[in-house]
Amino acid sequence: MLPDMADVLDEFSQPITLSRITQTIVGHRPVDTATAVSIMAVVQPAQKDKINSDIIDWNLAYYQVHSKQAILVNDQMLYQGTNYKAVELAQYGDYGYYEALFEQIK
Amino acid sequence: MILDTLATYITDLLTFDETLVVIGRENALEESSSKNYIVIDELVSIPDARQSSFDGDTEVQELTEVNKGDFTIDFHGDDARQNAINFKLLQRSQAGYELQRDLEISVFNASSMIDVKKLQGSQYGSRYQIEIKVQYNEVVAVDTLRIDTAQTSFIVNL
Repeated sequence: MLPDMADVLDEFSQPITLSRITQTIVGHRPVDTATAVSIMAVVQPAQKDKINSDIIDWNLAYYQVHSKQAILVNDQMLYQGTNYKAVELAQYGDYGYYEALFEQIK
Repeated sequence: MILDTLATYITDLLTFDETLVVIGRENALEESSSKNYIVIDELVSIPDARQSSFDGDTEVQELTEVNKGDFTIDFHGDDARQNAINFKLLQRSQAGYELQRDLEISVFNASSMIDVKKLQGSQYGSRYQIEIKVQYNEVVAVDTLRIDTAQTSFIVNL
């Protein structure tokens, strides 16, 4: 049986509001619709030397977010007055949590 | 806009789902590499001629520019190659000519078809690119008062 690591997050989690973006094509152009999703998550600065060097922009801030609730690519987060977008996911769902890398939106 | 017009042309010519014909470089998300969608983009447009006309009754001046542009059409998905071939062939159909007439554009026959996946060395996701030349007009209308009575003065050196 796989260990459930989710409870480890509870002590460090804070309420975060994500904007879940769904896209439809209207008139041959994409139209984004944002839906607010509230989650509890652990937010910590990402270690840039561990980020995929093909995608990293050294001018931007990156945060690593862990949560018991699912996070999707393109979800947006407003954190400390700055907007971030989920660019990479790591599926630790078997162990009770999800990990996402958020990149600052310029 | 010409890109919107071209999107309509392609959608109607191929009887395609219009949500799968997308104008490029507008942050549309690629959902899956097997989905059959078409992306349109503009390379360059060069003016061939310019014209202006004035309607004294409505007091509107129309400024027109005839352009000839290069556009790319990228066919993605499992049916990419067949859709690209269908487009090239149907351009010369009666429906194709009628669409051009109705949309007020001239679409010259596509020639080459490039397998972009091979060029990029991609492992998955078919992508065929066709380049076409399109002749089209851009028009802008400007409210311009007409001159009913001209007041002129002549300066003569005696």
